[in-house]
Amino acid sequence: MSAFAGLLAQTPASGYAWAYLDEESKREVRRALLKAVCIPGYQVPFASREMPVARGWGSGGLQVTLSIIEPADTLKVIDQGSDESMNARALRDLIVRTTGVATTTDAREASIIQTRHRIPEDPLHEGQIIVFQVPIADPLRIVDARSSVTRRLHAERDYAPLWLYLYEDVATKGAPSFTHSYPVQVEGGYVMAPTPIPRHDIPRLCEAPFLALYGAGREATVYAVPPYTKVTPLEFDDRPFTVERFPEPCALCGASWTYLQEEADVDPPRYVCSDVAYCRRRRSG
Amino acid sequence: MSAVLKIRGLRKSYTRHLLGGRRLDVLRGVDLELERGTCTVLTGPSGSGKSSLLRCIYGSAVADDGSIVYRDGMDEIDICAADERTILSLRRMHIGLATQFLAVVPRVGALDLVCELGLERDEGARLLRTLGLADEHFGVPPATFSGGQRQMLNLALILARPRPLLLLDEITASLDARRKRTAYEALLERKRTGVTILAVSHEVPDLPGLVDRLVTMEDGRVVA
Amino acid sequence: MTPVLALHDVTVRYPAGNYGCREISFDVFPGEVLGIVGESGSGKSTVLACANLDLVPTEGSVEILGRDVSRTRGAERRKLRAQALGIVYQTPQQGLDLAVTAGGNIAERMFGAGHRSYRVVRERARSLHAAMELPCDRFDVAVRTFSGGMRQRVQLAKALATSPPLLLLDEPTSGLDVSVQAKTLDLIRRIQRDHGLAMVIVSHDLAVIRMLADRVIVMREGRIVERGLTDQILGDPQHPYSQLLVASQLT
Repeated sequence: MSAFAGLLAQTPASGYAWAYLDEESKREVRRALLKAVCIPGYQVPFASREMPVARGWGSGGLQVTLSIIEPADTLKVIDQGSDESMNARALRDLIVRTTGVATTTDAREASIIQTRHRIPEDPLHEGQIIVFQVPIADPLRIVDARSSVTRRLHAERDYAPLWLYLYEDVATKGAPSFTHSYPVQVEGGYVMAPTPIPRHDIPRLCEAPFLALYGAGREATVYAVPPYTKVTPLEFDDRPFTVERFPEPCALCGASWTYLQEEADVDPPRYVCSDVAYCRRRRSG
Repeated sequence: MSAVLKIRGLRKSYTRHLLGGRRLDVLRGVDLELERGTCTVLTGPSGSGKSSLLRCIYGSAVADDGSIVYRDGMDEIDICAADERTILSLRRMHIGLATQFLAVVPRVGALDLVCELGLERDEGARLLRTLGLADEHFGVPPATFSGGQRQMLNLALILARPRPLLLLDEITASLDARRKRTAYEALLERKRTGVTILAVSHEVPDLPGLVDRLVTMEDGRVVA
Repeated sequence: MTPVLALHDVTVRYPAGNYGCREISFDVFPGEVLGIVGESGSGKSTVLACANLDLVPTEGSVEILGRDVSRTRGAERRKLRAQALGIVYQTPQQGLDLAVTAGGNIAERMFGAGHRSYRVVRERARSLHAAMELPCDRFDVAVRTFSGGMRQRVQLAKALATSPPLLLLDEPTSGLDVSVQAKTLDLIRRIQRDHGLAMVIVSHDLAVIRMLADRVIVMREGRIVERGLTDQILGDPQHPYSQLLVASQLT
């Protein structure tokens, strides 16, 4: 990844279309996104382009961002909550090189946030767009590998197999085994996979002020949830959905409400905020 | 003067398609009337059509011609022309059939079988005891019963439901004298409540007051 | 009274020109048990598939509780099946997910009908599991480890999970050991009586029919050749084919 970014640094940006994709490709993605926003939670197929990012590493999210970004936007890209990870940097570099847009690490200031695995801890506001990178778009994939079957199940809103999956988890393991990508239902209709965000972030999706766009490059689908939409995790009436609990607050900034990452390679092991920028800002006052 | 059953011109044959369509006439125009509250014994040599007659009345055999009219109060039904559901309904409420053979329900005990027909457990137990079945057999599925015990259970099953017409096909055939008497007494008691009985039997029951009429069949017809 | 199930002149013709069944008509009222007998190729499975809404008849109609449902598909069919129909397939794998626990297999039907309480669903599944005389300690065990007879009983429990008025059974005891057959038949008989279920049983085994069915239709090459009360069909069959069937069996 970083080797490619280095390569990009040497190539004049003028050799590329603005925002990398040609206008036809962008139009294709935007059309799909419009449809997705009109049918919240529904997986809309689109012609996924070849991207300089391996499938499974954000090619879908990247295509979404590149299709909607405008010169006045301010971009934040995170991976696992960090702006500085290799993947986040490579993606951000590509976007910046082909658009020249401003970037930030402060979630409050970004107009587009592309993310893998986290929603930033800062409260977000109207007008912001979060683009989620999705490895497996279909929440029914774990129940049946065949798209022909899952398509029909979605069409009939027949999620009994997913409820059964939850039941089996609770009956045989004591609790649902979803740690990331817990299936959620949008306005009581379609069930979608909210990308591998931890359970901690799931409640943020409900009635959120931001627009949520999900891009899955490998499965060539996009889906969306417009602002102020009800998004609820699948839960039995008598077994409410629970978020993660950590034994200690953040070792760096002391926050007890954020999603923490365990650092096991230090001695003693400690927990720190996964949202690195948020934590750093807290520490600097 | 109330005839519970009026049989007119009943004809039946069996056509054995597997034997090239060979036809066996088993009832050649039977006329018979049963008065309410009477017990009629049907005798005759084997093959004379007695069992077939009973089965035609019960609806488990198909008559070729003639009529079997059952009367209940003001209502009359020709069993030969009745549809399946009507016959099922008649069987439930009006007509019972007991044969030598017991339909075996593998795991259901004797008392349960009797109570399935609507009796409370103590009533069922009393009935079985009256017919000489010991308490220790109540929970046993009748598959292991002796011939005599099965016959008594058959009798219990047919008596368990109060029905106005009882058809009995050789149900005392393998009973010893003592059990026979028990059976006859139970039937007499039932007859006294107004029940009509038509029984096929090789020997005529000797219990006084039980048998009102003897009918002999031969070669598909009533001869006496 | 409205029949629970009624078929009117149902014909299934395949594109190749052959027939699955022809002009099949019958009805089943609440509490009645109808047997369908015939050999392979008789069309009895086709008829059951129409009753289960798996197949759309080429001609004729299928009515459930008085409503023509011949052409329902999708979500509506799923709802109808959940509410009105229970089916026990000949091979348990068709009706069960072997990788799923017994309780889960039973529960899935309830989830399909909209139940969302874990405890309520589980308790009901457990009571059905027990009513089918399945061992309690196997309730949370995958059905893959169950014997054939036990799998059939899980199917029965699942079929009853939503208390449907109609149960369809396709050769419910085929492939089972004799002693296991007896247990299964007894259970079916008891369920039918306790719940007053209407049932349609397809079987080539006349002993099963004799024990469970009030009425019978005999099928051959897609058509009904004779129909009547069970004891009449078995004791005094009229049609040559019925006679052949009855004579061939060792009951």
